[in-house]
Amino acid sequence: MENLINKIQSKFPEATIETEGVQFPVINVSPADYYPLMEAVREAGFDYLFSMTGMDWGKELGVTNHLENTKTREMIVVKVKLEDRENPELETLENIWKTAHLHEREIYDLFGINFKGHSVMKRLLLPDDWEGYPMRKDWMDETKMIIR
Amino acid sequence: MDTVTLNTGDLKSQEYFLNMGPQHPATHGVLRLILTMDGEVVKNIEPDLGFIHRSIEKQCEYEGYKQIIHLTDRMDYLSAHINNEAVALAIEQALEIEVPERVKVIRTIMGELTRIASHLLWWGVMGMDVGALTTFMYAFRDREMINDIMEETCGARLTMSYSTPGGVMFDLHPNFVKRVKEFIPHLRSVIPKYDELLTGNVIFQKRMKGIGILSYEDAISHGASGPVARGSGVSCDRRKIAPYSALDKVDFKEIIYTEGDNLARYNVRMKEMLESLNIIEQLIDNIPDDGIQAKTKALIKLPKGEFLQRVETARGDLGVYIVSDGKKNPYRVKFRSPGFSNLNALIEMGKGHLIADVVAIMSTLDFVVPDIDR
Amino acid sequence: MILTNTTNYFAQLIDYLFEQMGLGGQILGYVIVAAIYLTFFAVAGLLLVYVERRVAAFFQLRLGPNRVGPWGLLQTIADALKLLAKEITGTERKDKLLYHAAYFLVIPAALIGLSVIPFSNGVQAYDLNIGVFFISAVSSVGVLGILFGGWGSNNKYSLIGGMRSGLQMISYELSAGLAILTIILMAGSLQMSEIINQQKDLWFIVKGHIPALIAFVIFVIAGTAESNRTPFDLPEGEAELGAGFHSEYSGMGFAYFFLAEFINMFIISAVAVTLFFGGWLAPFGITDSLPWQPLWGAVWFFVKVSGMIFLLMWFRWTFPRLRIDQLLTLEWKYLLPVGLLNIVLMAILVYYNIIL
Repeated sequence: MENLINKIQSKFPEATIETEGVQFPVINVSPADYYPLMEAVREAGFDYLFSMTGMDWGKELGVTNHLENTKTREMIVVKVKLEDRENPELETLENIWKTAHLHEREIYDLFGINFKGHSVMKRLLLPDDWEGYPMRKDWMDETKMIIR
Repeated sequence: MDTVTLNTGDLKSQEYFLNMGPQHPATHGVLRLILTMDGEVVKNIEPDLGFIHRSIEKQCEYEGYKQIIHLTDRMDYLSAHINNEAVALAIEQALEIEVPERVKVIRTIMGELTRIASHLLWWGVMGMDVGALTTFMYAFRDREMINDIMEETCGARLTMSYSTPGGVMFDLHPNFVKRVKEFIPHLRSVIPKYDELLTGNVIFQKRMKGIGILSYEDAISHGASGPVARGSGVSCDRRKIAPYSALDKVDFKEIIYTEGDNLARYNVRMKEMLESLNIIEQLIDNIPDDGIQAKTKALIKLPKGEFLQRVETARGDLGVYIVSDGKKNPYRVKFRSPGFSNLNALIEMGKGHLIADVVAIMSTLDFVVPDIDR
Repeated sequence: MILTNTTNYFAQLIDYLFEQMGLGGQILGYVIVAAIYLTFFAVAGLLLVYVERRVAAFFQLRLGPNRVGPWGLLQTIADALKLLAKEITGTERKDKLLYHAAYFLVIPAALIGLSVIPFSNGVQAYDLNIGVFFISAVSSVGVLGILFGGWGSNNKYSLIGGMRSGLQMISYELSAGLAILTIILMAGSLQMSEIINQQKDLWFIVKGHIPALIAFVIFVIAGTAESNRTPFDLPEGEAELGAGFHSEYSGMGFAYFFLAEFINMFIISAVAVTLFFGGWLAPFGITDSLPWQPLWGAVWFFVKVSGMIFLLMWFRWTFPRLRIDQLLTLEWKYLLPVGLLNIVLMAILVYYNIIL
């Protein structure tokens, strides 16, 4: 773990790493460094992409990835934030982890983050003609949602 | 001698789409697969989900923490208790509540019973998918005993909502211990009969062996978990890796097969049922007596932060990821469901197989569609 | 005149009516015989459905139908009435001719097959001199019905089911034919009544010892496959294809397929009993001295057929289904060569007269 953190800090100086007060070490990375960083993390033995969570932090959209090392059982979190809410775009992780295929489609469907290079970038859960991205915080449906 | 040439000028072989589901007996619910077929060979599988997508994650953002538990029942309804437990554990972890020993033991016993019930249902349906119709009735007879046990204590047979943050909803019914003790030897005696009926059958073995192979690397890359990954030799049982509730007190084996084919996944589940019985047997005799509820506030507010809790449901690794901003309802909840990732594995495993094999593979992956759609 | 057997009761009836009323009487006779067979067809079909459900329940820890009528006997009649009252639905762009021709093909195929089966001594509509051959020829017509239904429905699942069915029935016809041939080598006749008469001293399954046993096993496997029952129910294959070739049929269209399937099962069992177990002959002639001989013959025939039917139902409710390639492998790589060798073996035995 120490090795990985040092390696990432030397290779990706822009990435910030939190280790205090969190359950697992968190790496914050810019969209540009996202794909190479994930590749480096994969190289370091974090071979199990546990989950990809689409996030809406109010201002930014983003993805939180939970990764696990199947040998040592360590976990690490990689967060990427996108400023652009109109056309958010990220590199696909399909080539590194096959499980990203469906997870990315789900995030595209619910958050509208477009994954460049993904093989089937279509709506997964919602109908093809659905408008908007319902998991975003600013999504509102007056008739169907009951807000308490 | 004249040579005979077959004129195939106008004969063309053409790929076609076959729409499997949402109403199809093999998809166990409303999963839709768009199959590209060449004759009876499946060339490509494209899942189309969302027929029972209720956006539970979005609903959670508008509910208090205690209410979230009731929503999780409706995800993987066959391991409803384990889902409840996952959320309860996540909340307890965030609030740093120490729950009574009794609660831990009860949760573990209930969880294992749920796992057995889920595997029993899977076994019955598995038989149906390969054409042996009798298995279903056998499995349901025995599953009914578990449902009755659940009903007595929780008041519900399927969607129990039994765990609450900091404890369990009700105390155990006085009959509980007796009934569970009746059930354990009963299931031990019927599982060999199951093997006689289905496992040892030549046709069944031929249908299972070497079909739908998922390699060790692929299992990890696809994010497979639970019996699916363990059938491919991946050690991934959360109960072993990070024991929760009372699982650190019991002794049990993690079932791992390395073949990665249908039969391996089948065997993992059959053996797991016996292991679950072992766990229950170790706990049922001395359930501690120190209350069923830790002290919690009426209105639960989680501290600011992010909390991940992983548990082993009957289908695999369920992750509950709660992002809290300190309010009475979560900022974001993500349920990383095992079925979703396992479905990803089907896309590749099914390619090049006959349609009957795809049905069998789907069956060994044990999908519960609400778990995939959420 | 085809009706040569003088002890044939149906022939006697027609002859009697011919003598009384001339040509009109003869036609009346034919109509009466046909009516008897149609009634038998319907009753046997309904009864078999009932039996199937009871047997299934017996295997599955259930009770089965037990509410309508005594022991639920009227349940299937109620079901048939319900099916009669149902709306006939179908796909929009079906091939109307083939779609509707399908069930008019499967029913006569099954019904004509029944006509040469000896239910008892002299109870047989036609005692054709090529009886066994006639049955295997006629039962092949049923395939056409299923193929038509699969194609005409304009449904991909039906199409796959129909194609599978064609593949399966044509393949297994061979093995069934070879198994029948083995016995015919021994009997020296294709005529049903003659085959039974040959078994007066010993049933063929004992008489032909090893090759007859092999032939019986092959015949049962091929027969199960021909009647589309588990483990060979791929044309329906409900887990894969919904209901296969009859997905798009409702009401009586569906019921016809259903009935024909059960009658086919009856025919397969009846042929097996006739060829291997002495048809209506009593075992060791234990009832030969009793009065009402034809009745006793019928009793023994139905007892034996019930045994065979139970065997087929046993298969259905305990075996998983084969895959299409395994099904063809079984036929072409195992059953067919074994069947051919078996014929040679039987020929040698018959030539050197080593049969019992």
